[in-house]
Amino acid sequence: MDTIDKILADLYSYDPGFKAHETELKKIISKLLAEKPNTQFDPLFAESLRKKLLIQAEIMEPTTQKNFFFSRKLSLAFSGVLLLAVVFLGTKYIQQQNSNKQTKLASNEIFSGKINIQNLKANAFGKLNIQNDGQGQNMDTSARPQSGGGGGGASNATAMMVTAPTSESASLKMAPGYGGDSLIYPYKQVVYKYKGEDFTIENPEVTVYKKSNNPISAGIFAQALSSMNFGVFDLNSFSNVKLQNLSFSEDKDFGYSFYINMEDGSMGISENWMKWQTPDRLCRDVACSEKYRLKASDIPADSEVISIAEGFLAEHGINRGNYGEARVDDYWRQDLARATDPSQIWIPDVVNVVFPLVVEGKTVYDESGQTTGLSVSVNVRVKKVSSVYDLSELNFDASGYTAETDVKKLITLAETGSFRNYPMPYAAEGMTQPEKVEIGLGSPKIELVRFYSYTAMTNEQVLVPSLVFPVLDTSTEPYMYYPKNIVIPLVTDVIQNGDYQIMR
Amino acid sequence: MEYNELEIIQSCQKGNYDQFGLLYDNYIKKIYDYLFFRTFHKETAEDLTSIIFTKALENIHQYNKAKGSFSSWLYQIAKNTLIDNSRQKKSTEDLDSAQHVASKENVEREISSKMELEKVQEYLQTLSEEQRDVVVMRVWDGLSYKEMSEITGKSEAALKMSFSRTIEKMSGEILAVFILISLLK
Repeated sequence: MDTIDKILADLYSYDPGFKAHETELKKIISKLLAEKPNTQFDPLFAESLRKKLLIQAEIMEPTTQKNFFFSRKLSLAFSGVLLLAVVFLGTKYIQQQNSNKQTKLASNEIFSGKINIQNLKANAFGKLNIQNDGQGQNMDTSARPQSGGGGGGASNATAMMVTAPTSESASLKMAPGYGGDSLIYPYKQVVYKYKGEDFTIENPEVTVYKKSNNPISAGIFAQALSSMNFGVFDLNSFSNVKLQNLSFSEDKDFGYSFYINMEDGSMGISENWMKWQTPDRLCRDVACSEKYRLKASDIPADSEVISIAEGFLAEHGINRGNYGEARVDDYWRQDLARATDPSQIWIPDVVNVVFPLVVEGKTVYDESGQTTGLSVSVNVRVKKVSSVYDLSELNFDASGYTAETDVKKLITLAETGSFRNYPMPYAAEGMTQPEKVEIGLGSPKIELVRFYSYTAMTNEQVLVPSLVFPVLDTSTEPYMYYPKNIVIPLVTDVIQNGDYQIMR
Repeated sequence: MEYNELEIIQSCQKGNYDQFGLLYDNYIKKIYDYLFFRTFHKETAEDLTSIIFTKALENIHQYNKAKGSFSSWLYQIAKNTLIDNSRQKKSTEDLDSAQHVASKENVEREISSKMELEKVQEYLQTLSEEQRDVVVMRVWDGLSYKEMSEITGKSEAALKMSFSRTIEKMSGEILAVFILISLLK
């Protein structure tokens, strides 16, 4: 019996009178079936979702109706849930602390620790709406350690590493993060010149990666949330309540705070600020601060700082397998080298170590030309790691996009210092023209550059294949700042998006 | 391997969540289509589909066969998720932002298809929500009255009555619409 007959049979069983209108009814139902929309079911979407669900299934703990901790009828005080959280997650941490690396929990206890890439059709992300994120500053709104002793909600704080300004900002400007005698004056204009070898872009299509949000299943917490009564208000009287983030901390000297964003799967570790009260933090006047002010010689060598960072990662099961060789963010040294009065430069007590992310063999950079990935901060006063951020499951969707193959255009963009065509500085007629300083660019390599694609509701991290031109002729001449690399995206969509109003 | 739904569900409920993939394979298109027929928006349907199957996986231990079929349970999750979603969004989807990724080679066909979809959707909008849901569930989703009853909580008799009255109402009106659609092709 076909579909129409089945539908008609139901109607007749309800009201035999319908049989008299069978011809008309058949027409109506046939038309309805014929006008059934093409739902554009995408097998790639289905496959991608299936994989994500099975990954989630792998880490789910068995829960049956018999072994719920909490009955739906029971109301629970918040302290009970907190205890559960401490037991569930604190146990894992304590086990790691006491394991002597013999019974260490695998870093994939929650996540697999690997980079997972789902291949989608071309242009799957639509138009890449990439905005200027402020010269490489981190616009990621996912988990950031809270330096104020914990608390919920993701922070929009910028990255701790401050990158050098690009050539377009070589006008009268304060050096980032420092006061004192750091004005860049007299005015100089950097002009880049390509000095590398000839090259071609062979592939007309390149792969863009978009980072997926990786919500963490609330698991047993979901059950607890569904039946909680705090006393002050009854959570059970609300609907569709879900856990958004977790934060907890070590209650001991130099203990840590942990933050987990359940919605996007990002995590952060930071100092439990109240337990990191070194003498300098107790200062309330300038004299006291000056007493504890660090000198350049107080900062350990890069190798020692990296060793501290690597030791922390190993001790606490943080997978380094997806990251390349560590580098120390030494912007303060550059400022020191350029300053006319070094005594005015404030030496930081926290040094940042960056472990660059590597995706399918390509290193990830930010737009300012610095490698980016896992950030580990080391407090040099106590020689301990004070924070780790950009921790998350590394799931990406991959999609092909049209590549810019016009090498001349790409080199021209590189020689302007940025694909964004920022206004070139100029002096008004009659005024002293800026001195032009030519800086060489070396042969590029193709790597990935992290951008943020903005939608109405959020921003999404995308990794775009780009040419990375090393800046040659680095100088410590006073007032001269330029990046280590100039990055030019290879995706035509992104280049076109970067157009800025040119004022010449 | 023969698909034995109850065994697969019981296996999942014992903690063998990897078996969920088999359930997923059997229902993914049905649930996606169910959502598409009510949103007429591919991306929204995909987003909601993800939410629904995540909920189903997380709550598989709550499914009780005594309360109805697994299919109905899944559709209930879909229905509730759809309601939650519609509360957050405008009631009428922007058709201009919906639908097909434009195909350069088939622009004319895409425009024609969109117009037909608009006409069908416009007509369905003239029905009450209940009437629309019953017709779509029966004709497009292909659900039985038993399943529809488990999903909506209404009796089979009530659903049959609703469907028959709607078909009666449509007999005069919709033929005119479909003739118009045919003229547009």
